[in-house]
Amino acid sequence: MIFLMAIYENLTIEKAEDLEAKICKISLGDHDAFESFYEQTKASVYGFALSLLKNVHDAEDVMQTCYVNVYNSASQYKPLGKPMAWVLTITKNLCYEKLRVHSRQAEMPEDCENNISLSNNMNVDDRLLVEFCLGKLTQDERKIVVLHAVSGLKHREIAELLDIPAGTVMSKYQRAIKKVKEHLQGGENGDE
Amino acid sequence: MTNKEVDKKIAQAFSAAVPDSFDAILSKCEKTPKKDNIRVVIRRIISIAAAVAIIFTAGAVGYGLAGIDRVDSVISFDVNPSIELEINKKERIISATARNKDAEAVLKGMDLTGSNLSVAVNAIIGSMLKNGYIDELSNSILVTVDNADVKKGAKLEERLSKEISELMKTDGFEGAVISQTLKREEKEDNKAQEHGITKGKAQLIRQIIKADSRYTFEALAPLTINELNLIASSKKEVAQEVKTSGSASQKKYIGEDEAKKKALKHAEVKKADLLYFEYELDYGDGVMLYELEFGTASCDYDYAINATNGKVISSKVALKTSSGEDGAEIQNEPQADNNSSVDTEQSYESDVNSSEMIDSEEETADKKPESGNTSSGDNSNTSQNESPADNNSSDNTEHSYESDVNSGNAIEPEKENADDKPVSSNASSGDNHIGEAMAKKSALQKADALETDISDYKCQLKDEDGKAYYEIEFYVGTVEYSFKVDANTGVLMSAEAEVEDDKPVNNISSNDNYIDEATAKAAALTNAGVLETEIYAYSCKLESDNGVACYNIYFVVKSTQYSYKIDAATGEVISAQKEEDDEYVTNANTSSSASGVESSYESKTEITNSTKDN
Repeated sequence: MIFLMAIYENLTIEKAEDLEAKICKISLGDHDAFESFYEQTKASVYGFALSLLKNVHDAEDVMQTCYVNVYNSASQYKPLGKPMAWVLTITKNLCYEKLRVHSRQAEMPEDCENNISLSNNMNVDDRLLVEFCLGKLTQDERKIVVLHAVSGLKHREIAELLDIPAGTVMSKYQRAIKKVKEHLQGGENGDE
Repeated sequence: MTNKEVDKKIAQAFSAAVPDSFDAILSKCEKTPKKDNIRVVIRRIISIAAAVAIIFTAGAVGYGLAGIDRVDSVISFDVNPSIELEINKKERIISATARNKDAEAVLKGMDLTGSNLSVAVNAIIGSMLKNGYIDELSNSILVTVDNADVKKGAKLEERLSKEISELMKTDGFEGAVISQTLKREEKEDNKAQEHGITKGKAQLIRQIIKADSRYTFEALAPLTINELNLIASSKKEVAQEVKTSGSASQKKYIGEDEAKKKALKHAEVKKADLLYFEYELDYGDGVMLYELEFGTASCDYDYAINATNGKVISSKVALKTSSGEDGAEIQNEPQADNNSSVDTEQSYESDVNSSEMIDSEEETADKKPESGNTSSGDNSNTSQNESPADNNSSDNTEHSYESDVNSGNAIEPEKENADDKPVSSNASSGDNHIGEAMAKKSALQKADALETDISDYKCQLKDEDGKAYYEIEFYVGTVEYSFKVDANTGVLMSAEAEVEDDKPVNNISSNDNYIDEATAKAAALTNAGVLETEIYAYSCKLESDNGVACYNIYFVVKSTQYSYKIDAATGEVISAQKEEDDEYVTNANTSSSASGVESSYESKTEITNSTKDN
C-alpha cells in the first residue's frame, strides 16, 4: 500500500519534463526509460480506459495498444509540456475506436459488476471501490474522478481533455467524490 | 475524510487493479515494426525520388535537346496541396506545377522535369507524406487524368490509382484514392483557377453540389480532399461519377458512436427507446459535423454535433401527435383531428450556430404546406427522416417551426383555429373553463410524460383576443415544454419543446424572485475574498441543481480556480470550490503542489458544510 501511495505521490508531483525526457529516451529505443514511463503512467492509462469501457479485458487491451503506440510514435511527440494529456488522448482515441468496433455504448447495464471481474489479487476494499466507481458513478463522473485522482490532472486540464467546461468538471467532481466518500464511510461504518 | 484522502484511495484502488502487462507490451513493440517505419519509408521514398530527380535533372538537359515535347496528358493530384503534371506520350514529365502554397512545399527542391511518371508520383506522394499532408487522419487523394483519348485516360487513371494505393499502404495505413477523368465542360471553366485549385478538384466539388444543392462552390473549395471524400461518400450520384478505393479517414473525428452518445445524452433519450436512428457526416457552417436524426415514440430529434470536438451545434425536438390517443382523453380533441392546424407541434433551435444547411433540413420536417404561415419561404427537398418514425401510425402529424427564422412568436395557430372550428364561439363564454387539471392532463399526454416526470411546472390562465387559454410550462429532464390549451374547449392550441443545453435551466421569467447575476457574482467574490478586477475566465450560468435554482459561477484569480453555486432565490452560497493550478503556481509551491490542493479542498469543504448547516 505504501508503495502504491508512493506511486500516486510521484504521479502528482512528477514534472512533465521528466516524463518528456523519458519519451525522448523511448524514441531512441531505451527500454528502461520505457518501463519507467509505463510504471509511472499505467494506472492513469488503465484507469481512464476502464472508466470509459467498463470492461477489464478491453481496458487491458487498450492499455497495451496505447503503450505500443507510445513506443512507436515517441519520436513524433512534440514536447509541449503535456505528456500526460498526450498519453491520455491516445488512450481516449483507442477507447473510442474500440467502442466503435464493438458498436456498443460505453454505458453498460446496471448489473455491470458481472462484467468487471477484477483481479483476485486485489484487496477487498480496493476491489469494492473500483467496482463502486464503475457501477455507481456516471461515465462523466467516473472519467473526471479517475483523471483527477489517478492521473493527477487539474480540473482545467480535464476540461480540455474531455472538452467540457471547467465549471462542469468541478461540480461533477464534487458530486462524484461525495458519492465515493459516502461509499467509503458506509464501508467503515460496517454498512457494506 | 478529505477529498484528498478519497482521491488517494481511488488512486490506490485503480493502481491495484492494473494488470501487469509490461512484458506483453514489450514483446508487441518488438513484433511490430517500429513505427518510425513511416518516417523510414518516407525517407526511403524521398531518397529514391531525390536520387532519381538528380539523375533526371542531368538527363533532362539531354532530353530537352531532343525537341519540344507535346503534352499528351495532364494529371492533377489533390490532397490539400494541388499539383499538376503534364506528361508526354512516353510518360515523361514535361512540367510539374504547384497550384497552391502547400503544393510549393511539396515540390520544393524537386525537379521532376524529364523524369518518368511513376518516379514522379512516388516522389510527390513521398513528399506529401513527409510534409504531413497525407497521414492517418487525412488519407485521401484525388487523381484526375485529362487525356484527349478517353480510353487511354481511363487506363492511366486506373493504373495511377492502383500505384498510389500501393504506395500509401506501405506506410502503415490505408490510403483512399479517388480517381476521375476530366470532363470537357470542366476544361472550359475558369472557376478552378479563380479559387487556386485544380480542375480535377473543381470537378469533384461540382459533382457534390450537383448531388446536394445546399453546398456552394465557395464553401467547398477550401476543404481538403479527405473532407470532400467524406462528404461525397454519402452521395450516390458522386459515387457513380468517380472511382474510389479505400475509405476516407474519420480518425480526426469523434466517430458516430460518440456523436450518437452525445446527442442521446443531450436529449436525455435512452438508446433502448429509439425507434430509428440515422446519421451522416457532413459539412456545414465551416465545420465537419454529424447530422443525427432519431426518434422515440413521442419525439423526433434532429441534432448537429461538431465532428471534431463533439459539441452540440444545434438540437431540435419535435413532438409527435397521435390524435387518436388524445381523443380518448380530451373531450374536444376530436376537433383537433379534423383540424390539424390546432394540433401544432413546434420545434425550436436550441442553439447558436445552426447552419443554413441544418435550418433547411428543419424546414423539411414541415409536412403541411398550410402551416406555411410560420415557415414561409422555405421549400427544401423532402426529408427522409419522418418515414421511419411513422411506421406505427398513419395519423401522426408533425409540424416544426423555426423560432429564430420566424421571429420566435409565430406560434399562434389559434387564428386558423377560429376559422375552422366552433372554438371561437365558446371563446366569449369564459365561465366554461375546463380547469387547470384538465389542461395539465392534456399537456402531459402530449408530452408523453407522467406527473412525476416533470419539474418547474407553471400554469397560467391567460387571455388573448378575448380567448382564454392555459399556458402550461414544465420540464422533463432537459427538455422544456410549453403548451397553450384552449380554456374553453381543452383543445391544444400549441405545443413547443426545446432542448436546453447541458443542464436543465430553470425557466425564469421576470416574475420570479431570483437575484440577478450581478448579485450572485458579488456574493461569490465576497466569499472568495477577491476583487472583481482580479478575476478572469469568468462564466455564470443559471442552472437547476436538484430542483434548486442556482447560479453556477466559475472564475480564476491568478493561479486559483473558483467554482461557486449561489442559491438564485436567497443569494446564499450553496457550495464553493477552489483549486490551485500548478502551472501558474510560483516556485514556492512547486515542491508541495499536492498539499496545496489538499488545503484548498478542505477550505471548500468547510464552506460547503457551513452553508448547508445553516
